[in-house]
Amino acid sequence: MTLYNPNIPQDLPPGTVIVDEIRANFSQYAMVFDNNHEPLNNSNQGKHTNVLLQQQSTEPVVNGSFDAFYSAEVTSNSSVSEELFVKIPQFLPPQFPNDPMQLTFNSVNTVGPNYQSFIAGGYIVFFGTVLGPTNTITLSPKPKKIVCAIANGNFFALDVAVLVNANNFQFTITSALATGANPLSWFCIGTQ
Amino acid sequence: MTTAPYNPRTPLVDESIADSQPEFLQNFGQLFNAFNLNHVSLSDPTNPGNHNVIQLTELNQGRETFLNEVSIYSKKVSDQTDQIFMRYPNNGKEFQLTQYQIYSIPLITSGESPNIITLQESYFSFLPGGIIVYFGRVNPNSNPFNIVLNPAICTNITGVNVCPIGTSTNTNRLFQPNVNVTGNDKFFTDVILSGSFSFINPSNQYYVIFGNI
Repeated sequence: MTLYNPNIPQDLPPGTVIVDEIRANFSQYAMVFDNNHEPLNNSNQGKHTNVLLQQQSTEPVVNGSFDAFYSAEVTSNSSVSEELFVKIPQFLPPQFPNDPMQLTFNSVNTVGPNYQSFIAGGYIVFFGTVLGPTNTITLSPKPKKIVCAIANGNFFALDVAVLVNANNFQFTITSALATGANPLSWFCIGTQ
Repeated sequence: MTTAPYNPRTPLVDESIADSQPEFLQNFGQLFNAFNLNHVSLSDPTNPGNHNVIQLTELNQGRETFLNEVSIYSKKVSDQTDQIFMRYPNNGKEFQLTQYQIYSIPLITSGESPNIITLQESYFSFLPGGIIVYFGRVNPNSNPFNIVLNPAICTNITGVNVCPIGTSTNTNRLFQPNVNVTGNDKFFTDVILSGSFSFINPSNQYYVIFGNI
């Protein structure tokens, strides 16, 4: 296909070939602009219809009053995926690096019984409900490390405790006071 | 590539292409250069027009939206910097998607090497809408014990939950944690955990704390 050429017209005086080159450029610009944008000559021209982000291998430089969105490959404990990042201008004291923040994770579980979503920073959130007195929760996708696990009796103070397994994708909820009829809600955060 | 400004009024009616050649070159060059920002190049043979990054320059106020549109933009947040916002259709509700700069929190320890004890392992993240989430684990060495909120940017604590680490073996309901909060005149800095830590050994606790920024 004919590619956009910013270096035309050349070779004047003009003939038909020059007109064709100019037309080709205008045509190419309109065609390329259609990608991700409302097309030219449309009442919404210039607005985005979608944003397709090509994978970046280096993080963008943010050196002014703007934020930068981009996508990059992430290797987690369970998969390799393309995730959305944002980098904002530095405002923290200089001892803290202005790292980009990962906004997404490639997995959610809305079916349960072990529900799962994510929060910014590369953290996976798991939650659910079990019946006491002893339950071992197996997390999927497997986090690298469980950094927080909370469990409580739904209706009574049941002296609930949690113990993370050495494999870092399982933890056990125990309650000396709960019976099999007592629901216990749990919540866990892991690093991806 | 040319750096002359883009001229939307070229060529003039009475100009030949030869007369307008410099302006054509300027304009095509400017379109090319401007499009190169945030996009795969116009002259790329495979993915011209896709984005490689999206730089959102700071707006003074939320962007107007019409029916069936959502808008994502950046806006300065007081005492911070430019953060990402989203606005729903028809100039609908605006909410803040990003809240702060996430970074690694150093461990809080006591003692000297080789007898260093980790008192607190801290993490934080955020939820859209101005919510900060502190989480991690503490190993209380006093009663009461302060869970340090870092960064101390929380103006209102909305929820605190702690859970002992270990195996529950006691049926006497000895664990009766109390939580209190303290801070300076603007931000909360600590959640004070007190009560019986003795029914489980060790007395480590996981915690999760929600608050407003």
